[in-house]
Amino acid sequence: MGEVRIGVYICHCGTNIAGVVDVEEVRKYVEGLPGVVLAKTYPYMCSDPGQNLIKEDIEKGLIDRVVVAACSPRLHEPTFRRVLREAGLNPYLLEMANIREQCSWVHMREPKKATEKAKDIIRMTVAKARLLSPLQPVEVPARQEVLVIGGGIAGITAALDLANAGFRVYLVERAPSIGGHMAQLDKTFPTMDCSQCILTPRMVDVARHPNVQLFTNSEVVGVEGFAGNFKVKVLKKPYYVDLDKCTGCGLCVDFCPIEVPSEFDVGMAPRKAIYIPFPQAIPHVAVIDPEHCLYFMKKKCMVCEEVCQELAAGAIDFSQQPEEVELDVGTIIVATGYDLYDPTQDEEYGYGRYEDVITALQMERLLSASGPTRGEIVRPSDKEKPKKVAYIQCVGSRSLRPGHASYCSRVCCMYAIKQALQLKEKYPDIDVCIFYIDLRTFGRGYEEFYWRAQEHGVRFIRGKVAEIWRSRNGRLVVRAEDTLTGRVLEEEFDMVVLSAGLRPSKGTEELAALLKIPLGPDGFFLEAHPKLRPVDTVVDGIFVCGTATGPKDIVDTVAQAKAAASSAMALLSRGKIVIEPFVAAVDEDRCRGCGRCEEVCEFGAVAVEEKDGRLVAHVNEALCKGCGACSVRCPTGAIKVRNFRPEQIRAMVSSVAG
Amino acid sequence: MSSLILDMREADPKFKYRVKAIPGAEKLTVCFQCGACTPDCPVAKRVDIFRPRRIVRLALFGFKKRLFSDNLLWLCLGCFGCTEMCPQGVKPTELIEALREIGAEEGILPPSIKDMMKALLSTGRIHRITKARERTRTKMGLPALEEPNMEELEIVFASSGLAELVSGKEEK
Repeated sequence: MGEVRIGVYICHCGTNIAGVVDVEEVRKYVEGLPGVVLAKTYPYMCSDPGQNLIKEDIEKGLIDRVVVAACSPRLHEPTFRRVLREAGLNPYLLEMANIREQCSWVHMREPKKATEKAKDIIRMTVAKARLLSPLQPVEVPARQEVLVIGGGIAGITAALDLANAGFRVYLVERAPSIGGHMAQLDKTFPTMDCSQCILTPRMVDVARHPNVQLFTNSEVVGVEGFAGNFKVKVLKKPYYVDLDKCTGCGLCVDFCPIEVPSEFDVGMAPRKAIYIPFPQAIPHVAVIDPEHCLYFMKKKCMVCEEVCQELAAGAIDFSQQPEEVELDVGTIIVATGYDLYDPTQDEEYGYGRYEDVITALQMERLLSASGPTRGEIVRPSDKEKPKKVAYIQCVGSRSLRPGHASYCSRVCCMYAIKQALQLKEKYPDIDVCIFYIDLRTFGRGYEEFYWRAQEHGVRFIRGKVAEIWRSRNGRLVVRAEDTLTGRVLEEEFDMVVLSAGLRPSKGTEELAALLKIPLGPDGFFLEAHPKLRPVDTVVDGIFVCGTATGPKDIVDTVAQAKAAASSAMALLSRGKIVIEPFVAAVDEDRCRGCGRCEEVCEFGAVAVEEKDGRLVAHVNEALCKGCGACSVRCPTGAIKVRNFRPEQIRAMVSSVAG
Repeated sequence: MSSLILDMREADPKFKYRVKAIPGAEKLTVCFQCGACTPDCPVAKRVDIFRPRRIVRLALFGFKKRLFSDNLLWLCLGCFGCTEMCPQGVKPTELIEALREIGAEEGILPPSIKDMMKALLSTGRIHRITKARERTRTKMGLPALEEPNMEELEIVFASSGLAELVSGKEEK
């Protein structure tokens, strides 16, 4: 190896680094390190003039390796790689020395020691950089199909954008119909659009789109592969109804003798054991719930089959079996939404004990024009019109009590205000009172919406409700402190609505395990970067959007869904995917085919194969994550991760400890 | 200045750190004043100025004079209802105990508590055991009370500084 010529570029990052680390002292020190031919500092290395500094030195032929001492490589490594490429140098002859996140920020009170540590970090990086080799990025072909998991507004939006761009989309929904929670809502804040009116056309569009294939009543049960080439297993659960024959006439439903609480109406109305999920359901077909159907429980009844055979399409099929389908896709979009917090555990609110204490989603079904009461608000206990309704905010949210969530669920302030306004519009005499801790109306037009509710006379009481009980006259008594006057109040209401928070949807953990993507401490899917990569995950080719990454309203959900669709397009549109070359590589002369690398590889990326009459390890570069487990295990040093070779790590260690 | 206006010159912004340093009171500064502690407080129902929420607020601002006047801190019954309800884990019951400790260190103790402490110092008990009480015990088949071991108690008194608390700063 000829003598390398390393240029070190030390960034001030304004005062982020230079306010703590003495960059000039570091520069002088670095100049004397072996291999370093020049060292420069600049206020913002990532700025245009900063980048040009590097570019010019490369173009003049002064340097052939670059070390940038600045922020985390997660932030600007791609920026500086581009600089190298533009200057005609192999972009992998770059190393980043993180003297910001790992030095100046964490040692801001110890500038002397921080300066010494910055020297150490750069010395190590230079030691590694001396042994860098030029690499070529790996390219693999990318399939042009996309899997979207979840058929709510997020999944529907992402699927439509992708389908319109010409990609084939498989939309998988666990429930028998697409639509998600938005289909259950009556109106949406702050515009008061009818939820169904703006959702239903999108549902129809996605179902009829020639590029979209729906998998309803289906779940993803297996995922293998990598960006551009995922293999997905989808389990189609039986409807026990032939989807091609069923016309959705509903005759079977009329005759079915079994009634259970409706999931769609959140228990505010019953449904039958054979049912059409809701009037706008897609597909608009009947589905049998085998957990309650008499045929599946006791092998009798079958009246639905009889009426369908004689009077309708003959679509009932008790013999249907679950079916597994394999799909090949290039990218995956996770849009699995949320579940509403179940407030039963909060004994003090009496949910589940008092009929007239309901959740806001149940109120939404009462408010809905197509709901079980046709939009009439009635007390569940006696079907009377309520004169006074209380809302209790932050139920299960913003609390460290066991079973509660520490985060703010973001939508409850607005939906409570929206429902309060709707109640006032329907019944001008009604008294609506919202008990809150803080009101958060941060979106465009949201504060004005809150203003409207105040103008309509909705009462806002700042105090967390401590207890609800039923008085002798059957009304509910709410006790809270009005913290603004410091008085404890007890007031009777006809109904109490709990503004329950949002939780990760059931099955989130299992899906995260299948996709090998992490969850945050709140249990929602974790994005790769909250600001810069909000719909990416740490796994290339898997994107996530909507409430799957945490509570958000429809406005933000749709924006994210469109972002996820466009990110998926950006990845697939070139027809091939570029993979970082930091993967394991085998020196076939040294390899003796013992297979230990294959044993330790978690990703199934290494396999021992026969080649020219002997066994050698082979790396699937698209599967390899560059973790280095094989390299550690290899007895002959034949398998190494590119540019993370043992000799480089040794050089780094001995430069600080040697 | 009107009593309706908070005189911030009376506030000691560093006071909260002194309180937070006492075990049990660490979460003082995360209180968001939701008031969940107050509606079920048995004392708040009877005493107008006693609100767990208000005590937390006064401690947070460092209004020591208000905190340590009117025997406010000594009204708490220690039922832990507020601690159970608090969504932020502030533990007002333990916070109030911490504030009592600070008050005691500064010699601010209500006479009734001082009397109890004096009784403890001289007899080893906070209440006098009457003959009637002893007879009741016998009737209920309970064993007679042992006499307090003053020798051992003296060691506890000395190491806890109880005697100084009662006598030393009495007239502060």
